[in-house]
Amino acid sequence: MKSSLDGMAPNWRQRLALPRGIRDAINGVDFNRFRFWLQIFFFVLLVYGGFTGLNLGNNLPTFSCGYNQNGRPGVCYLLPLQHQLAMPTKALLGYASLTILSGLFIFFLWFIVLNKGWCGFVCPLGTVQDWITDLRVNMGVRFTRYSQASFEALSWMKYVLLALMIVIPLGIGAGYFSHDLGAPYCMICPARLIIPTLALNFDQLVLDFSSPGKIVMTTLGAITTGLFLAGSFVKKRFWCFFCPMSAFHYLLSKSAFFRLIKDGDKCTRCGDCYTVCDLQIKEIADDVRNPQIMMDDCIVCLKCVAACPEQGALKATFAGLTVFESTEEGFIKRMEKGTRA
Amino acid sequence: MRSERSAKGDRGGGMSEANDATAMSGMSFGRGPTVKTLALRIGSEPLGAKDETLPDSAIQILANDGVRSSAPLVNMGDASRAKVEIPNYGFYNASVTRKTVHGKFLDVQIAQAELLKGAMAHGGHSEHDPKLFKATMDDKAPFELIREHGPDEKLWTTIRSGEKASFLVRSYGSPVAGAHVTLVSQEGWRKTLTTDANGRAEFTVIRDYFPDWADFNRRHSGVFLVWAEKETPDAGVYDGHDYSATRYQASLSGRYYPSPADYESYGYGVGVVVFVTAFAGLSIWLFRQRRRKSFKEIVFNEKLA
Amino acid sequence: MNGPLNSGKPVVPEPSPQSADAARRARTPKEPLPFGKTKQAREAEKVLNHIVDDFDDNPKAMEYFYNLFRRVYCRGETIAPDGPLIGTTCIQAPEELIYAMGATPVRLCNGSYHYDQIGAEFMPSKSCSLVKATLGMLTSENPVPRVGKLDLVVNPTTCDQKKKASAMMQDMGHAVFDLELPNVKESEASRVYWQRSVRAFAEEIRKVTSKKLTRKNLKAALARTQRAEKAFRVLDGFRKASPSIFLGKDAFLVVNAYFFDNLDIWCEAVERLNDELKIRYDNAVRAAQKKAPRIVFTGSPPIFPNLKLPLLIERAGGVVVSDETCSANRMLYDMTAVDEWLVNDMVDSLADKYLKPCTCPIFTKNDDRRRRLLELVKKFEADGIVYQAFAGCQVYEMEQRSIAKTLDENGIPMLYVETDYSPDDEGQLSTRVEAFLESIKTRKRMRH
Repeated sequence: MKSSLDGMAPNWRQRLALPRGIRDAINGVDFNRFRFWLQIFFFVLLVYGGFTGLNLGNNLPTFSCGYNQNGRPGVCYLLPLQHQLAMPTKALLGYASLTILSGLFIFFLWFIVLNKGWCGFVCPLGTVQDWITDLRVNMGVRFTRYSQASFEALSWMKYVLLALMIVIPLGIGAGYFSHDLGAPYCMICPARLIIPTLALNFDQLVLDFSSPGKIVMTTLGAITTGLFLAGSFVKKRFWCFFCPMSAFHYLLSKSAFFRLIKDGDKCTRCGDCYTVCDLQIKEIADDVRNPQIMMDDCIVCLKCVAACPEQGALKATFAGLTVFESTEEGFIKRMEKGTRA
Repeated sequence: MRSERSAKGDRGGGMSEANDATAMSGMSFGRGPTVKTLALRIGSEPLGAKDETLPDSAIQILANDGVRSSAPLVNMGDASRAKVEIPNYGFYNASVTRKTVHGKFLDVQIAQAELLKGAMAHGGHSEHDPKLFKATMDDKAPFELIREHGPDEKLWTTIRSGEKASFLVRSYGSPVAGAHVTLVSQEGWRKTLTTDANGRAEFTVIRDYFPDWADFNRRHSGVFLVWAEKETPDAGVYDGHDYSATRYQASLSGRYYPSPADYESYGYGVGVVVFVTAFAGLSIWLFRQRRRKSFKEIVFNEKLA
Repeated sequence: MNGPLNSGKPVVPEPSPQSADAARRARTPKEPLPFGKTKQAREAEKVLNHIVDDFDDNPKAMEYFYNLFRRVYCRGETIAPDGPLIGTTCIQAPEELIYAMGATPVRLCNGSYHYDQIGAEFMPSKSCSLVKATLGMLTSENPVPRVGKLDLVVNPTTCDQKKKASAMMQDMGHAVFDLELPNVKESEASRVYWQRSVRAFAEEIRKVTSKKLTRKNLKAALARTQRAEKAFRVLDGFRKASPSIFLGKDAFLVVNAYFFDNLDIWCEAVERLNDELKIRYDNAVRAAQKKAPRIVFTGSPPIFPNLKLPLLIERAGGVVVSDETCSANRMLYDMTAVDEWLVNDMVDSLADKYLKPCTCPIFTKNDDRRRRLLELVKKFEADGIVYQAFAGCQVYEMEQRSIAKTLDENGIPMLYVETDYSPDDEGQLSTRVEAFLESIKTRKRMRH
């Protein structure tokens, strides 16, 4: 009995593809458990790795918080970027521009490996949010969704934060703002309060009354952390929706190696992917024309791929080679586990 | 002896506090090795100190790799200055000595300075050899006063009010017990201690910066002056004069900053976080409860004509 | 509530649409016929014999299904399940909710020409045969399958005729729940509307069964339908084989059995069938010729005993390899994904599954149906599509144009058949089907 595929010469993708057994094992993996353990690994690495003397540089595309001075194995690029942008304008236009460009380039090299997968698998703040979500599920509390109107109204916020993150340091360098507004995004980022505290460094939990600028910024930071805690309890990956690192990633994502691809022909528009999406991205379910389906909110957690019952409709690819794809057997295995538990 | 930083090799922007996260590594904007300018002064408190000259003298510099060099002390009328090159990362020990005979005493006065080519090391513990973090001590000095570095002190020094400043008095590499060490703050508050058997005297740096609330500047620094004195029965002849005892005096200065406790509050910080979490949580809960009733109606605006 | 499904009781004639039926019975009082001799039993037997006897080499595991239909349709056996019984008239009613609260769903859609004729007595002449047959069955004394008394009928608001049937069913004495299905499925408003409808439905079931929806019972219900969906997908997978190892007539029978059979027993039977098909596949046992034209069947649902058109296709040498109908593929193909296994999340996930991939023509746009058909043709390596529309089914008839255009653009031949339950047009249809299959064979020959 021949299938019509027999007899066709394998193209380069099929030749380079992983052997069948490995592919099936990957596609049928207990995805949630795999991701859970991978996130723990990266969390320990990025929050405590510095204690071993590890140094991955200052250009990391994820929240390896710079304020966690002893524990970080490298620094989240946003911190040095804001410091560099706050240099005097003359310096910026001169030799310092080279420093910024070279930093940006290294950041880019880190970034294109995983694309926005840095958010979904590596970011320690993302992992903290996922743990808070697990706590909520174990408590039996249902989650909250944004209505489509709220979603559309709020989704521009990350770009505003990104713009402010760049404009305010430039203003400092030009003399319009005081240095107390330095690293403005870091001041309001919940990671600044949470990650060092998890590494037993409580220095960031203070309100700094030394100047009006500092009062405002540290208070804002405490407020956003409070909102973060309440928000991520009821909303999955609450902060990722507003994160300027996410916006920054998206602007660079066209050249990344790791991609999320959709084959619209195979899509039945069942909406299973939308159901599991933490960020409530509609396009993943509704758009059947565009194969580059990674939207600006996407954190490439690949839950959608794991929840798609149609063979090959969603794929995670690295440099064009399929790494993880939606399969019927994988879907059935994962959902059976859910109903069994 | 007070040190001033020269324009060359300066860091831009006020990022000197150790509790700001800092992420610049080894960024020196200048070309060539860092150069610091030292000024010689005399006095018994920082505010009242005056410039002093010392003819035909040179600053002796010991680097942390053991290399010795010197820089001439240039007379400029009433004042004297020396330019010292510090090419490597780490702490340099600089000193200039004046000997005079008064009565039967030989007064050996050693004005010291600790120079730092530093970096805001960030997580890169391995970036710099830990040996660079220590103070540089001179085993050949007949008498010296060393500030002991804190356990967390790397390539940047920040002394704060309320913290301990520990000093070591040594002679030819051995600790000197029984020396009198005096610390004077910016405003002239002073305390004198005697070194213990290990040659150590430990002070708590006091707070003497009390501005109006609106004028408070967390980067305000005061200068402290510390000197150690010890009399020894060394006798001899100097410059044609006999002496039957020697009085050693070594001085050092440094800067200290306001204590974070003056402007940082854990209570307020944690309080705001908890309050906002509770408030937001309550609001969300009420919102969800309300949504259990009928959903939002479409309401037309009656005011439109 | 006493309804006409309780057989044996004399019915008092009432001034109602059933008066013609009641008058007829009053005019000719006689002993009730043994079920095996009734019109509907004979009709079923004829079709079943045709399915079993006129084709070679039926899989052994199909015996279970042949026997099931013989028992229920030809001999009128009662297969009433325990507990409350909820009848459904369309596939959009989430049956997991029914199972979770301890009730059993039964699909009421009927395929019998006999009931079609009964229903025609009080329905407009140009009505859909399926709706006529369903209503006819509900008024009949000898309804088949005999599943027992219905505690509730849930009627999703799909096409016009089903919608209006709601009031008619109420007049017959049934408790009817209108499950509000939106006719637009793209908007956010419709999605939320449907989720609310499903929640209201869950509330209604609770009133009938007096049981609450809990995490445990809902998960258990999901596990049961999951098993059915998985078994169906495996079966569906075997139909991809070329040449075919399994005929469409049997596939339709298997899924039609799902309407009324016990879920767990059905799953076991399908799993046994799958095992046998695996052996057949490995041993390259063919059910059809190598050159048999492979057909995807779409449109108005063929329900036993009205498997007229699929049987015609397979008798003429074609094979129905797949279908896009609500009595087969669409019932069991889509699977539910759940993110958080909490009741609120599971109910919303279920709601989404029943609405979003649904390719029923009652929606305003049919993009998903067109894409589904193209994908099915590709996946099953089909040669053509047979599109059945019941006479009177406005929605399927109107969609024919856009489907024809899409298929034409993609070079897929289509045969459009407008028919109903009556056997009168079999001859004419047979000719058309044979011609269509011939043209496909010719195309294939010319291409090679």
